[in-house]
Amino acid sequence: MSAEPLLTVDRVSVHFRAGGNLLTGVSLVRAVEGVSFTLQQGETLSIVGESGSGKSTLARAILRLVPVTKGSLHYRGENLVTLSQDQMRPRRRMMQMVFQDPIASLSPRRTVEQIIEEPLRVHFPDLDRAERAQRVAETMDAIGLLPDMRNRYPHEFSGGQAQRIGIARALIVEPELLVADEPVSALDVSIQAQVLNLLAEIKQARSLSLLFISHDLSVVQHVSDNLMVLYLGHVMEVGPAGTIYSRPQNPYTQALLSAVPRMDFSADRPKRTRLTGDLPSPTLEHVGCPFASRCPRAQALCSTDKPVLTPVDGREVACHFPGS
Amino acid sequence: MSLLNRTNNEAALEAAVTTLQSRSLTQLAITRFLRNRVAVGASIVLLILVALAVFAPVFELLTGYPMEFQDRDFYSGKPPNWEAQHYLGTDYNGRDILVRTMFGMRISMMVALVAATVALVIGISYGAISGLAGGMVDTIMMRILDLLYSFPLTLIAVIALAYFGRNIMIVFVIIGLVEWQLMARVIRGQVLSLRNAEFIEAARATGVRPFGILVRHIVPNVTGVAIVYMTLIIPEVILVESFLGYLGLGVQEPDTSLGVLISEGANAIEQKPWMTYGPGIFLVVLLMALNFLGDGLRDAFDPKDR
Repeated sequence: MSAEPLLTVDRVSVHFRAGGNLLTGVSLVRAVEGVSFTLQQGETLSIVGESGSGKSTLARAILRLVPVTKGSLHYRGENLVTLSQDQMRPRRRMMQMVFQDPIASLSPRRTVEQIIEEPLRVHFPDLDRAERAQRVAETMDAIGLLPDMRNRYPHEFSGGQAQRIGIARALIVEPELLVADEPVSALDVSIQAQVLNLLAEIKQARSLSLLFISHDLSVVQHVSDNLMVLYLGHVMEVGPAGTIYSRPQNPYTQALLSAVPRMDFSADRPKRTRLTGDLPSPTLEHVGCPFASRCPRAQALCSTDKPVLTPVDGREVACHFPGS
Repeated sequence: MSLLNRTNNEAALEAAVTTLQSRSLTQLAITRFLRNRVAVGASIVLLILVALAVFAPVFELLTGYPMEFQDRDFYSGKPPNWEAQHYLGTDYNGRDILVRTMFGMRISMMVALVAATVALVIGISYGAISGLAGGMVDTIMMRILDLLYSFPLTLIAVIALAYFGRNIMIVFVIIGLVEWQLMARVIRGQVLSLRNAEFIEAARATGVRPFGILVRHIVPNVTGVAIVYMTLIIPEVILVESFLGYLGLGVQEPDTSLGVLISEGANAIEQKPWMTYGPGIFLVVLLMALNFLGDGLRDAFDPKDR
């Protein structure tokens, strides 16, 4: 792999002010807390975690769609956090996003052609109508959309088709980085496979870097090179996907993995680790391990000391008592 | 509509679409609107009514009765008499109801037009600014609206008319200034729900400027709603005007409006029902045409509801 990473995320935190009116104070939601990782060109990093783990917020923060509270984001060596939105605009060509709800992510009043060409209008204002139409046609063809769909509206499509339109819109400006925020979780399982295969294909063909966000580990398994597990905005475990899948070290990862349904009815199949309780409020600031309240392996130390990421068995784990 | 018919319509639309050089949304909306026979019918009826109101003086010439003329032979309300050319009868003062209805429609339409325009302009800008700004600005703007909402229209009308004198323009403006509140709320709600929509985020993610987001993604998605509320506000404005007229706050004699004519007729509905028929029928037709037009426009602007 090349020496300089495409994207370096360094101790990024995203906090929101939430609630608060005249009577009650404003509370601070710590959606993402000190997350660091690097993404190499052509690599796929999957970010997993349950709802509220901050994975979507992290993705949006990387694209500067939500303000970064602390930390830095270096894209090809340039810190994105210090850029203004105007300075950010030309860089957006390189980093495009695919959204969770395929139909809701398409403007309902615009035709497929207008939707797909919008990024071109922003980033290549010199192209004339015919050149834009040409690019749209090429991209639609590459994504497997029929030319006669150009003049239709988003609501006329199924979820899978709409997601293809969303992918076409992201790819028309030939980005280097594609951020996919739960791109298949709103789709039928049969369609999920199609869209995942499509993503894998384009990733190969265009040596795209992919940031793949999901809560579904069985989906992630097929696409990732590396895997990052988030819990309450904290990284719990990060490393090569295969290593983590076969030997998860963090109890939270183990719980997530054991929740994946499998066709294994043998007597020595892994025991299901069940988590009890709900996700603690994201407004709390954690002194200890954020997972301590639900961890089957928690000790006194866990609620007083926050574990840091330490290399264990070929990946990094934030846990005082790692082990499989 | 039958399935076959629907397919034909789709095919016709597709054909229309491919022949058009630039297929703007508005052109598509017009194409769709023209296919809607009820809406086209309603707009023709509306055009005729507008023409009648604009050319109301012609009726004075046709019947030979000026608007204020009090026919001594037809005092205290006489039924329609075709020989005397009182086609819809006369009122208590012997004035011709047909002529007065045409002039009344004129006033009602002017009120509707001015008040609805005021409501539309103020309502959309206020609502869109409040919704887009969000946060504290939004809260303050909405509380101001709540405050205004708590003032009763009649009270404002009485005070304003006492202060500025009885002038029909004051009535127009007051109604407009009151009616925009609903529009502002509705538009704000729309903008709020749009602001966090994924397609708006998608536009931001790709680098579309805020102005582009407003023009290309937000405005097209609120026009449908704005038009529908406009067609709801217009009938309401006409009714509010007639209510003010009933209280003696609206148009002053000898001028009249549909609402005033109807309330005069309603007082004598058992003895002299024809006094209500003429203006009543015109009011009903006017309101229905506006409603059908509104429906048609909404369908045309919102392909989702097809």
